[in-house]
Amino acid sequence: MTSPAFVEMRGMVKHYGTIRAVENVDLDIGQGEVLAIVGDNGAGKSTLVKMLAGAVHPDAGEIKVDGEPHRIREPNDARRLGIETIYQDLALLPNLDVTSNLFLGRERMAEQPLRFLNVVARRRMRAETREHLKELSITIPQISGTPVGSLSGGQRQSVAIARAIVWASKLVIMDEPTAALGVAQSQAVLDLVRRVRERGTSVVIISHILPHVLELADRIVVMRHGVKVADLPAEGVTQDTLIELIVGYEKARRSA
Amino acid sequence: MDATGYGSAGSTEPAPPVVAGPDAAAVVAAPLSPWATGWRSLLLRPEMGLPLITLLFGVYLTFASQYFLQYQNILNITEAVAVLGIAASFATVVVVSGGIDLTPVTVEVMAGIVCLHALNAGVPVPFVVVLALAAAAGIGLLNGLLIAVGRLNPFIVTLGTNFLFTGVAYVVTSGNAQLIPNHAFQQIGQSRLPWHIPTSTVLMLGTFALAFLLLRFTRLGIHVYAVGGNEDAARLSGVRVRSVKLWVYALSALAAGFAGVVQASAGGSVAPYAASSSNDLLYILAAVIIGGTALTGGRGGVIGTLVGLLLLGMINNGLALKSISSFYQPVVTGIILIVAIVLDELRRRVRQPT
Repeated sequence: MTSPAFVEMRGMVKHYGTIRAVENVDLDIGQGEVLAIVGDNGAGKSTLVKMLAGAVHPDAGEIKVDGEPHRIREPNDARRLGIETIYQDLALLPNLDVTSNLFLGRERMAEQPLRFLNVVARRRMRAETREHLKELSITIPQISGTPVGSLSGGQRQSVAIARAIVWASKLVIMDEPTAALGVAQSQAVLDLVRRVRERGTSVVIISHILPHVLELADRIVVMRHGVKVADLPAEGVTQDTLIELIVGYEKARRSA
Repeated sequence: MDATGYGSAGSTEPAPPVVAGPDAAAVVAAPLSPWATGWRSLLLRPEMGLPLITLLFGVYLTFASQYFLQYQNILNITEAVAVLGIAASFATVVVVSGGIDLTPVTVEVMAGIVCLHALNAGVPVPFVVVLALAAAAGIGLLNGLLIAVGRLNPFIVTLGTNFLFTGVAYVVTSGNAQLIPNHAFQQIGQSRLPWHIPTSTVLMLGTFALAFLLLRFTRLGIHVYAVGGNEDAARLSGVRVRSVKLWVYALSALAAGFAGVVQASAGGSVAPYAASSSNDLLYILAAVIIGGTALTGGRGGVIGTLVGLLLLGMINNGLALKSISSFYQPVVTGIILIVAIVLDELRRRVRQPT
């Protein structure tokens, strides 16, 4: 690791009935590093990061952020720690517009006395949305009044990413951020990831697309059958090495 | 924290900005489909179809009967749907949240019974109203707790509480209609404001205005749409889903309780069999659906419900003016309901050609 860990996960366990999704996994995330987690389907990557995001409750394990132990019981707990997640299935609200999605759960409230009546500051949220999208060079003409469900897939993904980046002060977790995107859109997403790192925000990225992983990551963690099987600096790692680790060394040798 | 106690969670300050290069603009893909922006969408918009039908029906009635467009007749239509409307306004909010409330009519009767007993005990009228609303909110909170905290299906929960409190209404009244001979109380539902405007009409419009403002301008309103759109995504986005659900069922029952006060006052009596034998619940749901609110949640609003309600009122009124048996009213209502759903489905298929 290049910098001190600000997230330390120790002995994380999650079972679903008899299925051991995550079995006693330790994970450190350094300040400002891009950590990639790779592994086959069902290897436990998503479950592991969802425990950090507050979307899955661990059966056992301890999470420390900045040296302090924290119980992350729901997404809001993770948010309060500056940890934002972009989920595989987007987790945008298709029936809300861009502005409402960007500010969902953190709406800007109107001044008193309207704040007392739970009234939101719509104009202010629209202005801030415009500003944030401009900073990220994301061009979406309809930020208000048009549900995001009627935007294109690329536009929706950029809204989801913008929402995470705008609020993540410490860490962005991306679960397959480029899986549903074309080449140009994927490159734009990767570019955003780099810029987030330049800001000093850590990134955890789960991806099946190994060239993307090798292009971006500072460090790579490989999971197999719920267990961490490798944790290595990305420097010098080849795609073949990764594939062997993902499917299991022996198996790869035999079939080769 | 605000008056509703419905606050936000988590940090609300954005992280420092990320400076992106011009190449990030490539994230943007194809422009919006013409359906979303073109003038053609006007005709396919849910908020345009229903008012058009209502307007055409109004024009027809104007020519069909010389009495229809008279000031007094229009007021009569609004007065006739006032009680239904007060309950339907916040029943719409429940449907937008992806749930359903089958208890409004039962809550109306229960609120009426509370009025009856409180008035008999000599409680002043304003406090009688407060007591009735509190009882109604209690039923709503019971619904909300079972649905939000117990994670039970709203249809089944409110079907259950509907039976439960209908039974309670029969028990405490011994199954008899009871008169409420209190002049001051009757003013709520029977009095007329200047220009002969019925007070109940104004109360209905006021309730609709509250529901509209709630959905349009408050955080709770945004979250109601979010929960109705996708409950899991809403939860992951930091919406307090349980709190939202508690609020919508409590508010729906509160509105239904208010409708019950107006009904008991306007009728000067309360009857337990109103909860089990009237079609009011079905008319409330019909107004919500005709008004373009999707039963799947996340889409619609109270303006549609108000227009849908006026359309139902006009049908009833038109049949009466033409001296056609009121037995035909359910027939016409049923046809309109089915046409509304077919139109809605067509709209969605046109928008998502998959």
